[in-house]
Amino acid sequence: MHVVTRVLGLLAAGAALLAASSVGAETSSPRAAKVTQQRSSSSAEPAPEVLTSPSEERRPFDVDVDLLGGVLGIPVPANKQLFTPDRYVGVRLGGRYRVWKLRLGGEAAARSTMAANIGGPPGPLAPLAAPFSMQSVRQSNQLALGGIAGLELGRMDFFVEPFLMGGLSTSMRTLLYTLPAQLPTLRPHPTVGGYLGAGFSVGLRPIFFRMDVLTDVEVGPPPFTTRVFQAQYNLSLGLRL
Amino acid sequence: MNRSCFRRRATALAVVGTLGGCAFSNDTQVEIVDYDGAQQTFAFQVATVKTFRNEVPFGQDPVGEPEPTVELPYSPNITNLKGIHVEIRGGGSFGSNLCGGAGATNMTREEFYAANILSEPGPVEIQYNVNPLGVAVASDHDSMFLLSTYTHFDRVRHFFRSTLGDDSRATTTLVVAVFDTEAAVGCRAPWGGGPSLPILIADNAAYAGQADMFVLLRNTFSTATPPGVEFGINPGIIAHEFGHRLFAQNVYFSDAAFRRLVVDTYGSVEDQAKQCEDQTEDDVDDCAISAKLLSGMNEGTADIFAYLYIGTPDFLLPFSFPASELEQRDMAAAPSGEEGLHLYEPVPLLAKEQGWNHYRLGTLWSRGFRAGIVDPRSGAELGSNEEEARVAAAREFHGRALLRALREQGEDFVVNFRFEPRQLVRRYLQQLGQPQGGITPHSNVKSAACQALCDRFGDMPITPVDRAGFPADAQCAGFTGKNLKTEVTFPCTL
Repeated sequence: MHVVTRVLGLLAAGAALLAASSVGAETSSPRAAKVTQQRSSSSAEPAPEVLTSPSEERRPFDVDVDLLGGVLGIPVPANKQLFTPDRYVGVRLGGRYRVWKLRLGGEAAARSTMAANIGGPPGPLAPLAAPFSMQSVRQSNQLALGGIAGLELGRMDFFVEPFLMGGLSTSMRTLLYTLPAQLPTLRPHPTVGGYLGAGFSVGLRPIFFRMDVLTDVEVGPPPFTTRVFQAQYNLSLGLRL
Repeated sequence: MNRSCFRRRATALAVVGTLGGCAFSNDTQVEIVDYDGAQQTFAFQVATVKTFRNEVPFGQDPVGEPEPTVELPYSPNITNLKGIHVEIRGGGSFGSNLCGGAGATNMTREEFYAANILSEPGPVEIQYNVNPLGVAVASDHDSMFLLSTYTHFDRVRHFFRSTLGDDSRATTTLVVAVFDTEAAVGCRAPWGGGPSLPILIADNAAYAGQADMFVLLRNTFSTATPPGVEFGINPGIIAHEFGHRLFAQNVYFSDAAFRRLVVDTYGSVEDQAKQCEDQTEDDVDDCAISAKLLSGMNEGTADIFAYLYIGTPDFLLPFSFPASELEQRDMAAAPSGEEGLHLYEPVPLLAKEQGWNHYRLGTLWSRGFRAGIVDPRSGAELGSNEEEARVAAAREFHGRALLRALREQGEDFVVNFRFEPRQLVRRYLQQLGQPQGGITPHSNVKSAACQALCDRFGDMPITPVDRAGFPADAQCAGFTGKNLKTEVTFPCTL
């Protein structure tokens, strides 16, 4: 909830920047330019220079690469009110074309969760749990491929880009059990599904910070009884090249 | 799960993207954690479960033996772990009414829910994949735990129903086990509603007699349990807890007469619980002490049932319990170990005169039970290296006698709710003289049990508790309850 609040706050900040940027956009529109020119000609003063980003003019196509980290929440089978959190890190690579102010493109992401002992209590008691002699460790790796549609706002090299994202994903969840006097037992579980999410990027080229929230639903092979409903919260730091 | 059918469905799914009408048998193969007797350790094993039901209301399912054959559609209802005899639930809470003593045992689950002492647990939703061999393999830890728990409870219930011939509600009504729940204590508040001070949230398993539910908690804070198989997937511990249900349902609910008596006497089960705490009532000490002594024999009886199910005197306890506690529970421990079993050892934490370490009383009882087992037909004694034969004899005869003794004890309570451990011992010895399961016992059967139990109970030194205003006398083995039934003639003075 805390993270969501922060996301909403940053989105609000993005909206404020959007409003500010709209004023600038009006100034730089053709109509505005014409009015400005008329005013200029009537007053015989030179037309003011329109403030645009040199990077924008140079780059109709951007490549984003960012390192991300976050928390992936997985429902607890015995209690639908609870989730177990898996922290992960990953890398994302994407490309975007500018169409008017829209930034349309695609991106691929790879995430790996840290191996986490999942036999213990979920929720606030988790940090208090002692290490178990019977270990159940979960680790999962995910590949995702999808599209992104953003609206880039900003001035000069500073930009704010709220966006929507969606695509396909596949994961391999691996469980490791250590039972008494037995070698660790590995159980891999593949799943396939898709994701939908939203977020925003904010940055000063070429560096940007990105935050997004997405819901990722995947199922295992038939009879599809492995169902992974993941809520992912991503924070990333990247380069726009 | 039917393997060939699974493959046909998988193929059909791949080709046409739909599922056809393919009937499965009720044999579902699942991967669980179980004890491997050959390797003497725990391991993943494939088990066949026949009791998953598919949205059939419980009351419509046959509960007798042999197990019913149920044709299931494509996917048996494994996901929610609802079976014909067992159902696993999650979350919620259960309450122990501190005002209650034994009387609280008479509250049904529905009554606890109605009193808001319990919040009802919800359905679970496990995740699993079906591997190419048709075996359902849990795809996370909790699902593995719950699937294993279901299977163990299903097996345990079947064992006591078919092998020991129990016909009480313990084996003929739905077994409900709750994972990830919360135990709380308190009294019912005057304005209604229940406790709740959570006192037990981890590192245990229990049978909540008040709610007729099994409670399975996570291993959380316990670091002193090498190698630490979780309680809820240790079949020995599950059998022990199921033994509590056998005890409760046979003693208290054989024909509901005891429950009716309580209601007639005290007005309602809740009021009865209050009476037990009311120091102005004449029977306050009888009630409390009887309840505590009964709890001790209850623990010992549960250990006996676990021993019968697992077949070893430690009933796999060393895999989950700290070693320091095992010597108190292992039925095969040397007799010298019993010298430290102070029956009425006060437990300082409870700080009430009825708060005794009743587990030790239970261990006396369970060791006496095991030590008195002989071949029921020949009366031949069984040596220390003949554990398998001892267990077989007990499953065939002595376990059945114990179940009947519990019924008799329940009937005794209908007459008078006063308990002293030798009451149950006497009922058990009486049943050993009767035919059980078609076997007419050799005369040595009762004699051997008499010897073993009288060694522990007949001449047991009782240390009276020094409580001001309550001088010790002969009643209730040294306790001073005013209405305790005095056992003047113990029938086993060899």
